[in-house]
Amino acid sequence: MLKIFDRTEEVLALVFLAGTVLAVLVGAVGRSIGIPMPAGPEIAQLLLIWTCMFGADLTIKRGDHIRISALPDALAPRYRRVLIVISLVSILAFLGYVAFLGFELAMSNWARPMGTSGLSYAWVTLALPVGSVLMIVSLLRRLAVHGLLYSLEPEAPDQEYPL
Amino acid sequence: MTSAMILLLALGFMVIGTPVAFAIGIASLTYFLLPSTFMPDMVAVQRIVAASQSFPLLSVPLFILVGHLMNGSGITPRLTDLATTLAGWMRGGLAQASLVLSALMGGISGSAVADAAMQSRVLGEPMIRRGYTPGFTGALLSIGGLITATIPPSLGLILYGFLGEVSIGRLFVAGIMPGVLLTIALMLATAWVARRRDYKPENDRRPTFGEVATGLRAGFWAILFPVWLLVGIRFGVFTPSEAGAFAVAYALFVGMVIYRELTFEKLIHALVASVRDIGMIMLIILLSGAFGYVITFERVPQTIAEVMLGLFSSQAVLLFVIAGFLLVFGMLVEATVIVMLLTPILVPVITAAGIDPVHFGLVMMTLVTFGGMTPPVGVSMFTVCGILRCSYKDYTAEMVPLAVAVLAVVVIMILFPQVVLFLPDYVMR
Amino acid sequence: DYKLNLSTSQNSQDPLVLAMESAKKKIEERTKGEVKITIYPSSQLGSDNDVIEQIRNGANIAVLVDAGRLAPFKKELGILAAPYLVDDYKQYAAITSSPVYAGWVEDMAKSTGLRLMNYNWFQGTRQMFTKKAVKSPADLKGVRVRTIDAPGWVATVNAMGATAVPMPWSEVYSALQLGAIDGAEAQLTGAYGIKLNEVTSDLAFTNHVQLFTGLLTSEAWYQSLPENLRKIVNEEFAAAGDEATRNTVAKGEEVLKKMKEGGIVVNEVNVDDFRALVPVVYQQMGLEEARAALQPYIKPAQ
Ligand code: NA
Ligand code: NA
Repeated sequence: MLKIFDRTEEVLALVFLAGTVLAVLVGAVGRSIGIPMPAGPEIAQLLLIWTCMFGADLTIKRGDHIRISALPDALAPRYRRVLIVISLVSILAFLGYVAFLGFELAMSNWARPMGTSGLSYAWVTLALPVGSVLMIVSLLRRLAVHGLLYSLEPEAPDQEYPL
Repeated sequence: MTSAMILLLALGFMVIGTPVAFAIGIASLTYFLLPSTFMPDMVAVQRIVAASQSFPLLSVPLFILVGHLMNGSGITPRLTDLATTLAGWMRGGLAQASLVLSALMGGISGSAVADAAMQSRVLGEPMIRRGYTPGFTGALLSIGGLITATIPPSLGLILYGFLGEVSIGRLFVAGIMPGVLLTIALMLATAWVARRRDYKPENDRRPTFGEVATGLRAGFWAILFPVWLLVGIRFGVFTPSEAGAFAVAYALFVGMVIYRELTFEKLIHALVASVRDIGMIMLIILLSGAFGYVITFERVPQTIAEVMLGLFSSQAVLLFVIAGFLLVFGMLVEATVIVMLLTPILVPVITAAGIDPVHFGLVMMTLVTFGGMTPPVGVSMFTVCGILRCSYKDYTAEMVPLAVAVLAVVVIMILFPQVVLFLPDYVMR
Repeated sequence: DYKLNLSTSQNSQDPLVLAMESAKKKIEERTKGEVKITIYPSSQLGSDNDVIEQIRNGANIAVLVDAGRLAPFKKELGILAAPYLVDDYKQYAAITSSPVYAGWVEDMAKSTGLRLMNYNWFQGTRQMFTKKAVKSPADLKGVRVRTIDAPGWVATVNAMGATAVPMPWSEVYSALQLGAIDGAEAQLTGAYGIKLNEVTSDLAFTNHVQLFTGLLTSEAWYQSLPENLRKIVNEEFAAAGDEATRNTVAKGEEVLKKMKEGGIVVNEVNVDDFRALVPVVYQQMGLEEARAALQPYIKPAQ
């Protein structure tokens, strides 16, 4: 079950990225040959934020987000645990509130157009709450599987590949 | 005052090991939660989303993808061979070749860290086997990445141009000369080290014309890459913001049609690796969007500008003061973060002082990217030392001559703006 | 105490921002500091669409926007940025003092919480800047012209015979310089602001849109103001809009002179040729009824 979920997320992320490239190309080539497709850049930007949020979640799953570990690394595990708990609680609260606000924002503003393509900007906004929820789930899963000490960093760098 | 508190809060979270992106995000959201803030909390979320909605920013994920495609498409090994042919005869042959390789890769890759990581995997082991100390090997491969990051395309300059509303096309062209100067300066420093340590050449003689020609032919399509990009931009086929997508298409074309090394499997691998890198870097950029709003709303740039302009009347003095500050800050904080935080603040300041933002951009990006190669905190340093297992202490001791070379180039750039500006002035006018 | 943040995409040297400064001074004086105003030029708070979203979520901001940005919230108001609605910018005063316009404004306030306080900040008349001479619609065939990224603007430029390319204003100069587009439609002062005359050779006075803008704020904030303060705010912002308009017109003449000295070729066009092509825009945007409703108030220019 979880495996299907992970796989789907990865495939979607790849589709979003490939789509971003394609949309930019179509937009640029179209304009060059005199048939501008204003929807190209708009779709690229829509797919970009979805790529970013899904990519951010995949990175959470690997415990790979850039962080400065000098201080925690210098501490004994029991003190390190305290710092990690502070980080984790803050991050989860942050993501929870962002998910809530982002969802409200998207719902409140279906009328806002992205530009000329007729797409609603709400589709752009929606990426943030969806990504935040994904990241909350992934953090909790890491906590369950890898334990508190390795919730934010990989147990062995370069070895945890979920794919 | 409030904004200083928010900045301290962000730095505090970073120090205790919270991922940088979240440290910035949490601190910014805190600002909106303060009772003294009249803005609705939702604005924080909107700024995060809006940060993704700038067209020039699209080049960041696109050039990350290009970087990952190069390895799979066979471009990297061909350029490595060419670099060894070109520089292998010098004293410290492998070290010199790694710098030439950085310059060659510079035309395709936009990231110092990516270059350093790739070179550590390809050249690190062989160098240490040939008797180069791990500290010097690590410092050289890490700092060589600065060349890659300066020669166009450059992720840092794209970000700077995007945030500071500076022409990315001009920034790109302006990066060529500093990139060349950095290559020369680092090669001189390496020659000096190689002489003292008696690091041996790789080849016993200079390359023959035929050898160079063979190398050039093998690497032809890869070397042509930056030429294509600049020509495409110059003749309006695509805008600088769109160049990344064409670079992806070109890497795919070279890898699949010409070198026939890019399999479907390798392509998927490159996409997966890119999505992760994009998630990592872009989350910082997005969450910094809310931070930028705080800075703007609290009118921080205007205040700093007034103080700075009141204190320093000469452009060179102002630049040196800011450069010193960037160097120190850059040693402590990740480059992307500094660019995100400081570009919107500093560009109005230097513009008001009559400094060309293209000139300043090159000075700023060289310094903060270099900061990622220095202790105590440096992503390039961590990456390279992680791969080569060199100690941070050795790395730090061995980087000194290379650091001197980099800083000498920065001083030249500050004192002689024309070194940076004559090419963009010539090409883009 | 009542605080209001003013947002605009124009830079701090623009006549519109200068007029905002003087309104700020007068409002703070007349209300004895009860209403405090902060000005954020150059889209510092976000793009116009972002700021509208902030306002809808309760931020105490007023943003200077053209009617194209209002159309998603009140379709009929979009007509104020429609092509060849009037012949002369001076005719807008009669429209914005009509009961039809007032009805639209009230409707929008009720249904979306967005209050349009005024619509008299003139930014100039949109003209065609191109790299080749444009004398008739036929000359625009295949010419890629940058316009604003809103459906009404794209429809207008396409109807006039060109190929519309929506693109951020900040990219226009380099896109023209490098040949990614062949022209841009803009008002004189805005065009001179980003030195469009350096990267184009020809200017056609098509006069296709009178680009007015107005201050849009939150209905909740507007209603929270006591009657006496609201009166002062309304009067001073309206006066500032008129001041901005006068200065924009004067500055437009001044920069036209400079652009001509710089060598730009001004081509005579028969505006009627272009006017004949735009009814389709009103059709596409569903503005035909709105146009009929305004007809009684569109008086010939004096
Ligand atoms: Na580069
Ligand atoms: Na550092």
